[in-house]
Amino acid sequence: MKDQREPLDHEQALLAHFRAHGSGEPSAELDARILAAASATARETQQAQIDSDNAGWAQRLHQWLFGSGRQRWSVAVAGLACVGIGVSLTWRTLEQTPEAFDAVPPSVAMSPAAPAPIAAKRAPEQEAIAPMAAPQERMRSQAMARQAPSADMAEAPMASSAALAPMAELVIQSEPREALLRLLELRKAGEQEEAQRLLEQLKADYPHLDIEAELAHLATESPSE
Amino acid sequence: MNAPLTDDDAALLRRYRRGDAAAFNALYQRHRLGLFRFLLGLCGDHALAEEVFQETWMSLVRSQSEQREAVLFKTWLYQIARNRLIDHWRKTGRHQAGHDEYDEGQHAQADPQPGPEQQWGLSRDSERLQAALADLPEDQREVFLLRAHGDLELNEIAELTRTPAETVKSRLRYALQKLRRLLATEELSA
Repeated sequence: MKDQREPLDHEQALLAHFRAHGSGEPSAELDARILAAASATARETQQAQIDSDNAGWAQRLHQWLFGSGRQRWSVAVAGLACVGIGVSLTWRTLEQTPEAFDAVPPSVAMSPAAPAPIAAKRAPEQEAIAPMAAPQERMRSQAMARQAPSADMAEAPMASSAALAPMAELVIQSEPREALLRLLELRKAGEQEEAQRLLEQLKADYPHLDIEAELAHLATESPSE
Repeated sequence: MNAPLTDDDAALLRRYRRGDAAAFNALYQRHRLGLFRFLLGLCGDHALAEEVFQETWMSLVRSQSEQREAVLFKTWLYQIARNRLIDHWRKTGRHQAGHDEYDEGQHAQADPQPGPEQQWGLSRDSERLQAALADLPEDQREVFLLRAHGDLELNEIAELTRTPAETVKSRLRYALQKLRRLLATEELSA
């Protein structure tokens, strides 16, 4: 123990000796220069703190961004960019939402399969009345064009028109049929003048319709009905 | 009323960064002599020591950074001073001679321990102390000065000089042996 402590004692004695008898120290002028610089910096810091306490929000923001030596402005810019992207995405989503609600749902677009047997059953009648359907077909296509607001949605109205076709044909074929039946009744009743007016009206409305043939067809049908 | 200036170095530095000039004054008085003697002992040139000493304190004054928590203020201060001096040597093209191999080899042999009468009869003449220091290899002198004037522990010196602790320990031991021998010899011969 004594042997280990002795070198330590010697070390401490030598170090103390050098501390006590070492020479050299900075000049008073150098001390004054350094302390003056330090005091000036301390005053500036105090003044900056006072200014900061009195500063408006714009100056505070500026000091926060650039005054601390850290690059806080980059964090602020990144934050603003994130907010901008978020707002942009939200806006785009809101713009697209109404169109999505207007679109024909896929369940409706797939529905033509159901009325297909009805359409097949009525095919002979449709062939007979096809010439009469021309004006209505034109009107219907115009209506369809109005229903299709954009090219993106073009397929959906086509699908829905296919689904609605049998119903539209029922409506179309009922009008000349009723008129022709009315004409038959008028002829049977001997009201020639009114029958003639109705005939002319039918010719005007359905120029391609073979009215007499239709009348003959209806005349054969009517007793069974 | 000012708080009593008994804070540790880090607290004084924080107070100075908030604009307390008295805190800097306390910090300066605490370390001025040790730092200056470390620089003077290392370079042996009073003017150069003053220049580097001023640059070190000025860099501390101008810097806005706080002291890192893991490092003592004193270690930080001496590291700044040491780096400044090395930069100066590099600029002026001073060649740092590597005496380590020679001196460590030489002092590895058993050192005749001087008796207590010789220990306490060590030269007190500052010029002789300075001459004995100048006779040390640079690495040993640096470790001895950091220990003597900076009052740094061996692990702190190792961190500051980026040297393994064992190397620092052996350098200090060789430096002490050589200084003891040199000063005792001079005392005997006087």
